[in-house]
Amino acid sequence: MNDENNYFYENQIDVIEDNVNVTKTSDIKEFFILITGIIVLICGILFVSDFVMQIFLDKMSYDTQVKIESFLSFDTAAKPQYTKEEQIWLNDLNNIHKKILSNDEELKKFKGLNINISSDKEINAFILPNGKIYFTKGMLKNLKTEDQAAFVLAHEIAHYKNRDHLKSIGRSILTLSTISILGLGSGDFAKQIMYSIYDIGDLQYSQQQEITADKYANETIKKIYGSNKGAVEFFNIIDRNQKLPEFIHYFSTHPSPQTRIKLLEE
Amino acid sequence: MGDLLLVIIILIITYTTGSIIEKNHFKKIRQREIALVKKPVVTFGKKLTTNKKIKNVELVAGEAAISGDYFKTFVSSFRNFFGGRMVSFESLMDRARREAVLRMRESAKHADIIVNVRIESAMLNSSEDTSNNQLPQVSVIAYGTAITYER
Repeated sequence: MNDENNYFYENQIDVIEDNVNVTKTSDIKEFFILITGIIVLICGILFVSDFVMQIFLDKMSYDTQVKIESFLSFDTAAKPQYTKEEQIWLNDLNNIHKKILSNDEELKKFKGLNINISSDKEINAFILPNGKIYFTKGMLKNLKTEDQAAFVLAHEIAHYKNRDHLKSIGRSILTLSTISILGLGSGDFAKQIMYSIYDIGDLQYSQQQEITADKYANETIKKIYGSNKGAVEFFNIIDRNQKLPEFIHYFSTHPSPQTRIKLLEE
Repeated sequence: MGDLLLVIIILIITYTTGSIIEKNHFKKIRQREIALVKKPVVTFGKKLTTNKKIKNVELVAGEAAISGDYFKTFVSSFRNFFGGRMVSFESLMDRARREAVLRMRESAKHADIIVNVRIESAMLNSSEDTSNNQLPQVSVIAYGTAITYER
């Protein structure tokens, strides 16, 4: 009798255990499905905003570009006083600049381009939205030959010519506003993930821009100096100074110097 | 990037701890349900028709408050967007309800039947603003009238 009772109880309990109130999927499966959904969604948004920006910006006239740029940028204080050494560098760079401009008809309309030197010790060169190109002191000290400098300069000019700055700004505005309008990621953690996914997408985009600019610069110095030796030398300099492990470059706005050399050699 | 890495690490940790805790809780709930399967019987009805002499009548209650972990909250915040069953919270609700009922029954081990049982749930942080940092917490209270027969 007792055994029978036990059997009965066990069966009853089995019914309890076979719980209809909890869906029989694991949390982790749910997690991956949702994450995939979010990634697909963000990629879609990025793709659409890329597409829109591409159409919009490629058709935009130079005058409009200047207007937008003057709205985006502010002029820094009075012209800095350059030392004699810097003055020499500046002259050299301006000469190279002229060579590059004479090489490409399309560049003639960009009147805002000019070269400046910043006292930064890091090896870097950048261009502001208003066309001001900055070379850091650290960069100038490391550049050995003219064609190396020409490569860097042409690279920055290529960014300007391709309207990379406007494209990435427009893309960020479109994507981020879409994400916030959708109210995606109402939780803090979710938001963090969303923006991280967006960031990774952005990094890929930025790396693509760098590669395009590299290509342009490569073509330019090939035309002017006959070879792309300067470019390869330049990336070797960067590589020596960075000493970063290779994987870091997946999370960087720029591809690794070695990858860039490989691409140039192709 | 650092943020993302941190989130992933926290997610892995909280998923592991959360699922261990949940598994253990379900196991314990099951054991206790087996132990209590005979007595006391729980009924939602108000009326009790019996010929037995009643020895004692009292109010018994059981409460349980269960919190979700970081991982569950994270998953659910995406679920909020797409809609659908909040699978990660279903187990929370289930645990809270069963725990509350079990506690009520355990507090009336001597009784034969608990009548007029009601189960209610409440949000612990029921603040009006739906701010982001709300932790999902479930609290369930189960109460009823425990009746002991004369032997």
